[in-house]
Amino acid sequence: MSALITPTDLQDEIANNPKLVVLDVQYTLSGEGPGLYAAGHVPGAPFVDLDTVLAGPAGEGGRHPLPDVETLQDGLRAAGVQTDSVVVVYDQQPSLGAARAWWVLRWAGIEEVLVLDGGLAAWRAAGGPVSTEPVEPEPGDVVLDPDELVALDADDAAATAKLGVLVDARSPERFRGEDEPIDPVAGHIPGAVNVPMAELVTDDGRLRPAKELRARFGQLDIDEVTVVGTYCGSGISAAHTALALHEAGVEADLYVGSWSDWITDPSRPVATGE
Amino acid sequence: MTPFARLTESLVAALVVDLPAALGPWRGSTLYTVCLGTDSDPMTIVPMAHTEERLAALAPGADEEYLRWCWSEWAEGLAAPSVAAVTRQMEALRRDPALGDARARSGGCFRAMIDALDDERTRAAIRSVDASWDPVLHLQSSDPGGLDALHGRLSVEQLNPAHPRQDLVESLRRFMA
Repeated sequence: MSALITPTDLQDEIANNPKLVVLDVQYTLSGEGPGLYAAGHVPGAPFVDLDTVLAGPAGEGGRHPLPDVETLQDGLRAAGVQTDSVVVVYDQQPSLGAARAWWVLRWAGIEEVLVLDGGLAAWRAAGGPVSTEPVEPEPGDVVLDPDELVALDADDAAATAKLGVLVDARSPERFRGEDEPIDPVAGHIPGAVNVPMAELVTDDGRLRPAKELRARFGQLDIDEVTVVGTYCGSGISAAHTALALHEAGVEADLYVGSWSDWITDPSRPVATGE
Repeated sequence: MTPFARLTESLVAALVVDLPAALGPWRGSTLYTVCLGTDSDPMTIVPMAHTEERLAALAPGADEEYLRWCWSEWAEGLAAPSVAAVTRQMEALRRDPALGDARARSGGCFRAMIDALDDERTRAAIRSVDASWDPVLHLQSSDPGGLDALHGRLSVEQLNPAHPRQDLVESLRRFMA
């Protein structure tokens, strides 16, 4: 079942589904999420900060490790999430922050989580209303039950690279180790294959159609029974790749710590080149 | 040698004792799988095995692929007193905070079990009963999701890369997915 929702369908759901909660997860690496939210969001959607709600503090475990469950639960309750909520997440585009939210919320046991395909840009393009008013929802009562999805650690990621397919979602230059703008060590996990996140989206920030995604992953001999993991720099783009794989019919595990965790242990091998 | 490597060694030694004794009565049957049954923590290690003949005797008309691989449908595990003793060693590792967080300790235990099945001494112990046997090997948890499911799926790949019956391996992949 697709995890995507179109702007038109979201407008219908907002009008007709009292269990619906829409969360704004606009995010940039340089911390512009709150400013983007203030400049415009779906009416009634509270802001959920990726750095403080959907991730733990940077350090051991990488730049965006999993949050502790209490912090996540408090953040989602503050955003109005109830035990039986149907949650829709979105960001500006191309759904990197939203995909992280999609993955983390499902990991935490929330069953129905959808991503607004194309994000706020698609919402605006479809004529959806945009608000700049702050939102203070009625606090929710969600009780999280984590570990519903597999969060790979470094050993699991290495095993997946060896025995299954480990997809690196970063740019080709970072994968090859030619250019590393963020992390102190350049390269990739030995055995990983590179599918840059940018390949999986259209020019307007939507995920490519499922048929195209299946064909792209099929080039790597990935099908629904393959053991697949994804990683990137810190588990955000890789969540987007997991979403793309889900749309292609493949359930992938996420190495949340990703490259920023892998390189914290200098004994771990580093590959460069193709 | 790490504590988890020592666990693997202990488990291999136990399987070499227990498997020939437990499988001996099945000599001449078509043994298609041997697995280690476990659970999500993991707390248990129970050797399991099944034959085509026993499979054929199970509820006709039921989902054959499910019955083929779901060990809880077969019977109790093989008699394995030596392996039972190793379970206590695994439990001690699983509770030892010096070996990392709970997740790392569980992962180490799962990997140790897979590596024990992957050891040539274990494979030789199976063949010592019937030289024609080349069962599909795997690790399977009684809990269907999470980390144990990942390790179950990885075990299929690690233990059977060149198995002559890739149709069986593919069937097991489907079951585990």
